[in-house]
Amino acid sequence: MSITQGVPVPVSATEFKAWLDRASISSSPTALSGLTGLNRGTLSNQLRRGNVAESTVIAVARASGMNVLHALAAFSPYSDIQSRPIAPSHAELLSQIHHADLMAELQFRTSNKHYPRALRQDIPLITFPHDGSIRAWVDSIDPGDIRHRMSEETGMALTYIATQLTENKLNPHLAVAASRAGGVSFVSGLVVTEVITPAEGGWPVRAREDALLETSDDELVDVISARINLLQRKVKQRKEAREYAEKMTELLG
Amino acid sequence: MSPLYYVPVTLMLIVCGSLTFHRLNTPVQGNMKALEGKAQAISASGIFLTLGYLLLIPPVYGVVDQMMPTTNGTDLLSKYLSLMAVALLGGHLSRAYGSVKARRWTVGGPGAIALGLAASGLLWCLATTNAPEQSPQLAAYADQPSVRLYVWFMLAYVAYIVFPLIKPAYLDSRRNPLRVGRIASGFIAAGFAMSFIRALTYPLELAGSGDLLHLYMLASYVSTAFVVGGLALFAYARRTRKPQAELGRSALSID
Repeated sequence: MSITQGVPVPVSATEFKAWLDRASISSSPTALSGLTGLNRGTLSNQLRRGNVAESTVIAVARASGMNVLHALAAFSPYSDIQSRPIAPSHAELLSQIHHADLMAELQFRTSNKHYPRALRQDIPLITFPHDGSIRAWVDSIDPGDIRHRMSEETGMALTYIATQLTENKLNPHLAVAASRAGGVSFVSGLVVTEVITPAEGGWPVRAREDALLETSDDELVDVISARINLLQRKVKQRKEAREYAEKMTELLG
Repeated sequence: MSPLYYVPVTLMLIVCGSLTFHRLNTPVQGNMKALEGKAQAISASGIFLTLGYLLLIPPVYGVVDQMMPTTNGTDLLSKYLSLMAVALLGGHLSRAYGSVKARRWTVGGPGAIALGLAASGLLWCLATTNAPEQSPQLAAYADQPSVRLYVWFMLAYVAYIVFPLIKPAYLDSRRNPLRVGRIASGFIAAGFAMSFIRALTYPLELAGSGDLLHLYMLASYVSTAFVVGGLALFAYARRTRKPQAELGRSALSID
């Protein structure tokens, strides 16, 4: 079933078995479990229900040395995954840089005397996904109505999409739908949601570091400003949550 | 007397008594005692409930009943203590959960009228019951219409108090930022829902008798245990300073 039709499901078990046959891999749950290290019961359930998780396809591909993107493209929901250039855009890379790293860059640019870049030389950027990184990615590719278009394409409710983003999650179908709506690589969404690794998604080594260095001052300040707004909201929510919890435990405890 | 009667009553006495004792002996803040803190109504409710169960223990029941002006007056006294416990708890929880509807029902005029009606109804029922021998919970006379009404008055009052609190407690079980708080409110909501359902299904109980009646009463004990357990979890969260421990860390930290 295509992700453009109705409510999407993970890849079909029939397609999965046919794909395993073509790759001369046994479709028995025990053999697959031995190959991938995934739980045999989980694999058995997926095959019995007819819906196989994308993570299972990827685990099999990794374990048998296949190209992960080629493996995913063998299934109808992801058949067009390589139809666009797979390299991430500058904005997408920037979206996956933590606000603390963005602010560190701002400090380096402010004064080499007070904030020497050399201090940071051996410390890598904060890894992604980090808190809010998936929302930041969606925002970075948003042409204006991305959430509506994701909802239309996948049949998933806007509230569900909002909940997923709040929890810093996005299922593979929504990630691909977001990429389609944003006109960017279909692979980026799978990378930022950790379905595949940056290397598997064709992200160059040090892609984020290079993007940060290439960012202009005005773009850097704009991104930091946007992130600060999100941070303000998060800090306020945490404060309210703590006050509520304190009130309840004081009144009932 | 059937073990189905005294085993659950004794267990409830132990649970309520020990948790209330623990609550009373744990300072709220500094040297502030539980009966001086914001949750003083819960401590008072625990004392009333424990005393109510204590009176139902057969040896205690026998001794106290000899001092009563009427036979089985001890059971009425136990019921009054339970009514007070429920009234105090209902009023306090309506404030804690911030439920305007529950507060309107349980506090002030409506709450006092409901309490007065239930207390008067219980008194009238006992006065019209032919119960010459001591029998905790009037179990030996359960087939008399006045005793059935007596039980119903108690169940109806509890249902009146807990009904408007089910939704706020359930909502808190979904949105409380602390896991222990969500579990605690879940217990309280489940206990209240069970109490309410028992009052609604009381006519079905009338078809049963004897030991079956004790099984129905078990539902009330379980529902009470749920509520008491939920409140004990909140007390645990306060004692271990869960809000500060889990939400006191800087919201900016990723470590």
